[in-house]
Amino acid sequence: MQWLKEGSVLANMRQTIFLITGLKKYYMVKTGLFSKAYIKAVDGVNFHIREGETYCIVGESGSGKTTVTKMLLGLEQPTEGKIEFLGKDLAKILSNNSSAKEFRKNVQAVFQDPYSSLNPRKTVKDILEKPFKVHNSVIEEKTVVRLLEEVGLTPAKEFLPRYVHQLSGGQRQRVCIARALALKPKVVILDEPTAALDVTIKAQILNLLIDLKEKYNLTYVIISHELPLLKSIADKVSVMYAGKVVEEGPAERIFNSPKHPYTLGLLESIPPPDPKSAKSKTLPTLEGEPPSPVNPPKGCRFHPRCPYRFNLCDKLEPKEIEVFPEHRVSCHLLDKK
Amino acid sequence: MFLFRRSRSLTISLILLSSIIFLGLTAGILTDKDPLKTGYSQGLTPPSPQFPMGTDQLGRDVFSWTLYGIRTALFVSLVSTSLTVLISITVGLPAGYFGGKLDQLLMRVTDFFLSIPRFILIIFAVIIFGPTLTNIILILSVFSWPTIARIVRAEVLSIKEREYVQAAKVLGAGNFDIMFNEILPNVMPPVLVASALQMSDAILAEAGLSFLGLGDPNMASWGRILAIARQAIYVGGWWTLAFPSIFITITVLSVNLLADGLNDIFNPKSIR
Amino acid sequence: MAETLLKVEDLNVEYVLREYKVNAVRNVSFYINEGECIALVGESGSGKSTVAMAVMGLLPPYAKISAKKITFDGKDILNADERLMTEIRGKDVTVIFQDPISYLNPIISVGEQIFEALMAHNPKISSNEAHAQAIELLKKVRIADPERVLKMYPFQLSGGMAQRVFIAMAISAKPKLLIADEPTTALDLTIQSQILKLLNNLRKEYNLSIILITHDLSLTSYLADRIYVMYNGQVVEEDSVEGIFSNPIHPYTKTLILSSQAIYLGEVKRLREKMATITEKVENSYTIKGCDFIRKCSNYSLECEKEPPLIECNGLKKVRCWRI
Repeated sequence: MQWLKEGSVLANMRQTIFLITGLKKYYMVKTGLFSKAYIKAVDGVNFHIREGETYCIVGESGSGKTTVTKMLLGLEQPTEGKIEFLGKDLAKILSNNSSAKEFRKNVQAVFQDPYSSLNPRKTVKDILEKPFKVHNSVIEEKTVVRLLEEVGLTPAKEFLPRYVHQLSGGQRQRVCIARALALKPKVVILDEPTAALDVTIKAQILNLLIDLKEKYNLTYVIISHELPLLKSIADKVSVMYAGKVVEEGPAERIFNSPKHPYTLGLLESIPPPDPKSAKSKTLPTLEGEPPSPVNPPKGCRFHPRCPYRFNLCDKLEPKEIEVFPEHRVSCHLLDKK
Repeated sequence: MFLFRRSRSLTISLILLSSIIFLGLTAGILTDKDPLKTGYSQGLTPPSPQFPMGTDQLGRDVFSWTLYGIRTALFVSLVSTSLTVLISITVGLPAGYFGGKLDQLLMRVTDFFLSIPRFILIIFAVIIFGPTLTNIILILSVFSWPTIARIVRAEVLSIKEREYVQAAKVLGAGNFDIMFNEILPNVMPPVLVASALQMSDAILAEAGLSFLGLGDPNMASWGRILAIARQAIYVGGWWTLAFPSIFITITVLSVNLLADGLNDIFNPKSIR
Repeated sequence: MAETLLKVEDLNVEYVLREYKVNAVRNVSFYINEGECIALVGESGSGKSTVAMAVMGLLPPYAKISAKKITFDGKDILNADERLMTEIRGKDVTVIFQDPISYLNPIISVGEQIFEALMAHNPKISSNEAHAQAIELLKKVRIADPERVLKMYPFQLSGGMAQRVFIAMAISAKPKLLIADEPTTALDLTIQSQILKLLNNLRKEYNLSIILITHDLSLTSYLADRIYVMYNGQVVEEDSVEGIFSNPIHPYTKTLILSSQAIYLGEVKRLREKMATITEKVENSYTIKGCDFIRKCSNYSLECEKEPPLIECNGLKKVRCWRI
């Protein structure tokens, strides 16, 4: 097992960009005139994202994955826990104007809906000049043109005067990516970058993202519910369920030997685009629905839907177990042995 | 041209409004008579080549009064509406954007203004501060902004959640930058529609005030000649009533059509 | 041999909005047999939803529909009056949509809405009976706790639950044809496979015909028997599911299949070389003369500047391409 250890030492040598410990986010909701309850959107999450890595967070709606990204971007404040960016507390970074600007330069985002993430009253030129204006840098048309070419919108000059409604969905997402790259960031956080696009465009955008990452040595944090999509791009995957990470590990481990029943169920539910495959006739399904975030089940949050549950599952919350270097799973099944 | 094809209301209102404005601007050329001067004739005179709209019982020329009345009506309504919009944005934009205590405070002030009988207060204010043009304009604006401020706030609330606003935050844009460059342009369409309606309100309010004798005595106002007409019609002087009324109706109608037309343009889905 | 339930020949739909005219659907012909599931596959704007809505007579008044023939269950519905259409719509054909929550009335409870649907088909139904039938329907769509769900309001439902309720209402009249317009696009992966399974079970139980409208080819391999691939308002290729996947001929079908398979297998990086032989990288679309795909196709010749007809190949396959 010596080689494995060395591998993980090598991995550890890369700089940690985000270190997240015990992260929680609760939202208060009024349930009656005097009563209130808490939505536990994120409920104790730990992970770290290293330089040059494509870190993917997958989960269904309500799993808390979007809330995690909002906190990484400093758009939401954690209820509890800590986010460190390059070794410094994110809350401190954002409280100081100049360090906040520096953080914004380094961490950029692409949002899910290319229709609402571009201001409808601005031209492509306005949108791409904005990052430079905000950071008081010189704007040259050359720079903006090069950004457009970089994301495959050519001839760039034709796109500059266009408004958002004159672009197709794929083109809009390309503009969003160009805007995110304008300030030459270290990290790009992508929230469902291809969810709203057609299959052929999805593949194109994915390829563009892969190219850009190699070219600029970017670190990606990708949030998605489309598991198959991530196979092509992910280095590390963490699977979230009801506000918790149930499994985290290197992508090939997650896709080829998933250990948590939920990860397994997710992977199984992907219909294969091939009528000859046996799976396409049986289509294994995971029954039930994700639990309410106000009143999550006791014990393991997945137990009501789990086909392998046993007497411990509804009583005790499972501990995280490292089943392989860097591959961590929270499940009693692995604890039993 | 494209815009006109998309909205018939806009075309009609712009034709009507521009003719009205033209008449108002060329009043000095179209008539050589001073609207405020009495004694052009001996008592009520029906329309004639010399007095196209007749004269009132004091011998004032109704034609020049009506034309100069355009200036008063449009000036008062335009300036007061602009002020109204300015105040509404100043209140509504930060209230919606920052939310919290500021929002609570600003909206309670708005509620206060909305819950009092507006026109009666305007009358009181004009009596207290005196019926000068400036006072009337200021008083109209001060009592009219809450409705539009509410619209601004509601729009800001929905727009600030859009992803492009989030994207601007992520770029590091400041609050003022986001409020004025990202949000405000998207708030303007419904505000423009509402302010066109506000303008027709202001025209009627000004006419109402001068009808009650609370207009600026140095300005020819449609409301004041209607007050005069109240006595004149008993002796058959229908023209004192008819012509100014027609102008009030057409002006208010065309401003309302303008609101309608703006709405057509900003909400392309609403037209068939 | 199953009877043909719906047959559409040369359907054209034109949207006329003031000075604009858009040919949303051009010369689309298709048929569906009893108990069969066909899929209309295409990207957004390909006209696939318009086809279904045109058949239902649910298009807005500014849409101009023309066709050679549309028959449903032996009846001519192209020239049918509104009364017959209303009858068919409510009873024989129903639709389920992508975002069921927005099609459910937000201020009426789920139960009331199901009762209403039941009452529409059987006005004499007693309230006890309606309640029993509603419970039965919710069990059919595999809702675990039907009594509780009946009392809920649409905003309290999750996306998957709302789709189940909507399906329950859709099957309440025992329809012959169900049009499913992107039924799982808004749903999570695990819920998607549940709904697909549910549709398949209902199909077997009621001998239901299903028209599945989707942009996701991978859904069709589970549910559909035949596929119509649509591009820019036309059918560019039609065949059995196996035929489409094993022997795609039209370049657009090829890009669709290659893209979905590359994503599924995680081989998007290698997709580029494969695609290079089929399409050139063009994202701008100007007015097109001849074949719709001409600007994207790398294998075109002079004859492609004439519009290709739908050419019959062996078996069920028909392709709209000169270069076969």
